[in-house]
Amino acid sequence: MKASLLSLALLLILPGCFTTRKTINQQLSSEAAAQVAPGTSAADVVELLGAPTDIVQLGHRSAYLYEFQQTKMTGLLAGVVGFMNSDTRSDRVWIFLGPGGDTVTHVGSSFDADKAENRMPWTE
Amino acid sequence: MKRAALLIFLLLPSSCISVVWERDRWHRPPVTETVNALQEGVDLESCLDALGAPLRVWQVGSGYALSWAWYDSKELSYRLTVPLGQSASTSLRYTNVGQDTEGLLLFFDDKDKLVLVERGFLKDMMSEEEERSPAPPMQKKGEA
Repeated sequence: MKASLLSLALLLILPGCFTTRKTINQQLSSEAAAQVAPGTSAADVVELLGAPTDIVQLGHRSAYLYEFQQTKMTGLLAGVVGFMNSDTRSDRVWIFLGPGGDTVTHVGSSFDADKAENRMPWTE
Repeated sequence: MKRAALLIFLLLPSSCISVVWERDRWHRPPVTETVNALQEGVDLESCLDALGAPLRVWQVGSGYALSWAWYDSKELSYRLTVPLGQSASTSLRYTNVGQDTEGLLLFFDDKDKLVLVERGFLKDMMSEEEERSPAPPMQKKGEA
């Protein structure tokens, strides 16, 4: 009797577990991004990294944003109680161009998308 | 048999009543010591090396601003869903805890020198910034 009750409970609870992964844009290549440095031409930047996600005008200057975002969601639904966790991290490369937008002056990069984790809400 | 019936009775309401503990993390805050070490006059290159890439960049007057933002919300939600027919339902949701998006703003002049550092809730800082600048990019919670 106990075994059948346990089996029934497991059958009803187990379908409530899920993990999902959602991404926005294509993953960035850290090797390609590392080749961009002050002095690199805008044409070379586009050849290395492709079309930017966004272009921001900063007076006579401009900045290119390359961004890849990853969200990992984890859920456990056990009867009327549920636990959900969502973790979003991103890879970003900002490339600042000089007057006229021809040459790179500064580069800032962060590669954290892979650090997004499937975990339960109470874990740190 | 009675136990099985009781178990099924207890589990059936899960389709319409639920208590959900949700946690939503969006990016991470920069290291406090790193932010504290930022001094007026530091150049853009040093800031990017220390903090990595910002989330957003936009023009402010003759200079520009960089922003980092993050949140870590923990919510306990109670949900009641009532079926209204074959293709419609309605639900009520009660949330007793909420947390807003925090952020770090760095303002640079046209010589790429840091002139101002602001920390706090992004919503408050951006509303102050809206008064200074005509079109800052306001981010809503959860948007990249």
